[in-house]
Amino acid sequence: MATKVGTRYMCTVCNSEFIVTRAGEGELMCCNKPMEIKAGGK
Amino acid sequence: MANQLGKRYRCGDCGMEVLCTKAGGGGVSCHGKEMEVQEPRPIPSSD
Repeated sequence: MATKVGTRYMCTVCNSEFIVTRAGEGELMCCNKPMEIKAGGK
Repeated sequence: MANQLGKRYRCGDCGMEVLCTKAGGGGVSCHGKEMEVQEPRPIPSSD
């Protein structure tokens, strides 16, 4: 699933968080696990 | 290698870029490869 600019991703293992600044076809992985999209809090 | 706050990471394959907003122990990867840490871009000097 491609990523969209501005989507926030969170790693459930090490709690690191990222914002996508440039879209791409890859899938974001961290600690060998797919990262979860963080629900828009605002 | 841990993720550092404020560092930009880029995937060599699909060109996706992410900005770390919270540091963590794991290493972010895409397409099964560790993403490259981007060097901070120099600010144009105004002197």
